[in-house]
Amino acid sequence: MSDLLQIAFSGLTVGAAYALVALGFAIVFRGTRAINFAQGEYVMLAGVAAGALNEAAHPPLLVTVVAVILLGALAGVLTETVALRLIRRPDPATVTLATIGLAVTIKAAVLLITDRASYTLPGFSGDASLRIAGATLEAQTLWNCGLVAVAAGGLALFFSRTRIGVALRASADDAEMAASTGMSRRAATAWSFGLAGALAAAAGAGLAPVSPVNYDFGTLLGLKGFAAAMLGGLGSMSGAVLGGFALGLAEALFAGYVSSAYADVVAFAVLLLVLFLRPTGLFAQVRVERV
Amino acid sequence: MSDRSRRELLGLAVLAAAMVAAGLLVAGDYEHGLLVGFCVDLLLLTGLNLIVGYAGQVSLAQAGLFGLGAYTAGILSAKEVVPPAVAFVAAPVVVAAFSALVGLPSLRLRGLYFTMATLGAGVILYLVFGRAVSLTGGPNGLLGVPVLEVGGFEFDTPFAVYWLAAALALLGLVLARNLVRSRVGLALRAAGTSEPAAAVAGVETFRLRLLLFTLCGAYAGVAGALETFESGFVSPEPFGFFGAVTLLVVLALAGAGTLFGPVVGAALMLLLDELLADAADVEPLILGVLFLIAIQVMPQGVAGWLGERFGGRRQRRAPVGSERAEAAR
Repeated sequence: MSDLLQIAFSGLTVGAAYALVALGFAIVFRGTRAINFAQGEYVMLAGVAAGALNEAAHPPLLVTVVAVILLGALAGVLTETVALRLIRRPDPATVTLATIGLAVTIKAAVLLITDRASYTLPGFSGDASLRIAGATLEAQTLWNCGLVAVAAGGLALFFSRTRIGVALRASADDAEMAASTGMSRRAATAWSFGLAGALAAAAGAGLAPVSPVNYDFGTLLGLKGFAAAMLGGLGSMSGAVLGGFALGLAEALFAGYVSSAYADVVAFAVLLLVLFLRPTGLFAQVRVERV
Repeated sequence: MSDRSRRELLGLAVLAAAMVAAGLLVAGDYEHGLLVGFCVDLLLLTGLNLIVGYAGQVSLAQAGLFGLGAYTAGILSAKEVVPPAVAFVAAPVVVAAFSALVGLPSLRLRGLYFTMATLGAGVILYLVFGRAVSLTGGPNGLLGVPVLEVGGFEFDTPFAVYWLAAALALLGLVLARNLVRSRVGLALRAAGTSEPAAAVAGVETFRLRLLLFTLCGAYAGVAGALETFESGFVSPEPFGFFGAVTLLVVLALAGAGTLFGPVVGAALMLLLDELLADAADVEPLILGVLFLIAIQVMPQGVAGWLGERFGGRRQRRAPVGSERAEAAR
């Protein structure tokens, strides 16, 4: 029983990060119908930046976290500029390919700048942990779940209560109609990418205390976050959160009871199963065209 | 014979002559290894071009399929299951069968969803290469691959392997050319223009795409077997997500959907490897930036861009990033 609980806790820690990344995929997909592959690299960028900032200046943790979230948002907006605004024909496939190019570029740049160094961050409440029924619940797990809760709640409010949020939803539903009522499509896409960047950066800050982050940290994580988004139904916010936690738990269970060596395969097996059996995900939002 | 056919045959003859000349003029095992690398890349890109350039379906599985070929040849021969020559032939057969298996469900999905399925399959292959230690040797690599031997002749130097590689790469290019100039190519072009119209005219798009994806796997299998028998060693590194993206980027840069795009692409990879031999860390950065620039200025790639300027008639637009590859909505 305590084993199972321990496994569930470790699943939650990673699942929270998947959920944040998946939320980013969902927002960008809704706004542009493209898949932003730079998402995982924002997580890495934020983790590395947080660790480096902490090493260099020891600012209060809150400052570090806020700083890297802003950095993530900036990276998102820059992605939008490069992958969307500068492209002559920004159809979803081209934008997706451009984000892959950008992901490779970001990763390569961090490799050169950091020279493969790894960075960590102290836990948000030090090494504090709780003992529950024989299992250890790290405080960081609670922080990460809290980050997801704040992000999901904040996004729900943002999309229902703010002018920009409503404009974003309108633009996602019918870009031309929204544009004809005076909503700027450009502002909408920039906001989508910026939000996605901020969410991924929050994931990076939340993971840096759990495992060392280096230039290679983001690629697999981003792809898994994408699998989580597909599991929940690409474009669905609640689906992204549930998909993220479900994937984290499935992975932890597989690692605990079947094989830790092959745990990374779980996300991609899930991705294939979802694509082949139920491409709309568990919470259908989009229609998938079949030939 | 049309003007285009004549130009193409001339181009192929020039390429063959250049490859023979390169093999005779260049000396040294390292240099011959580079030439084999060129042939391996040419096979990989020619195969990828079939599914990406002509069928308009962007695949991110090519690096994984390449690895599957390399490991099939390597494991079968190193563990002495079959003689090396049989292992060499088994590689494309196994990879083609695997491609067909992946293609069967995923080619029914459209656009980006197909790409995502190939991404998943490719990453799974890569992860298995690194983790199935008892079979593949894991991250340390597979050792003890014997020398390829066919009818008593031993391909025991990169120089010997090069002639086999060059012959296979040229054969692959000619086969691909004939295929896309046949009714298959015509049907695919029709499907690319308007799928419903093509369907009405009797084009079975799904079956054609499955054929091309299976062939694409066979090319990757041959490439993998050549790589394994050239180096006598297999490690998982080149077969990951970055490898898949690199191949796609190079094909897009060089010209997807053009006959000589893969040739330009393989030359580009050779050039990059050679120029950046001492600064391997910079290579991904340069590739990433080049790709971003390429999307901007040459949606058709170098070969298409050259063709537009010097080759007269405009070739069909590369489907990488075209409406045809548009995301499922």
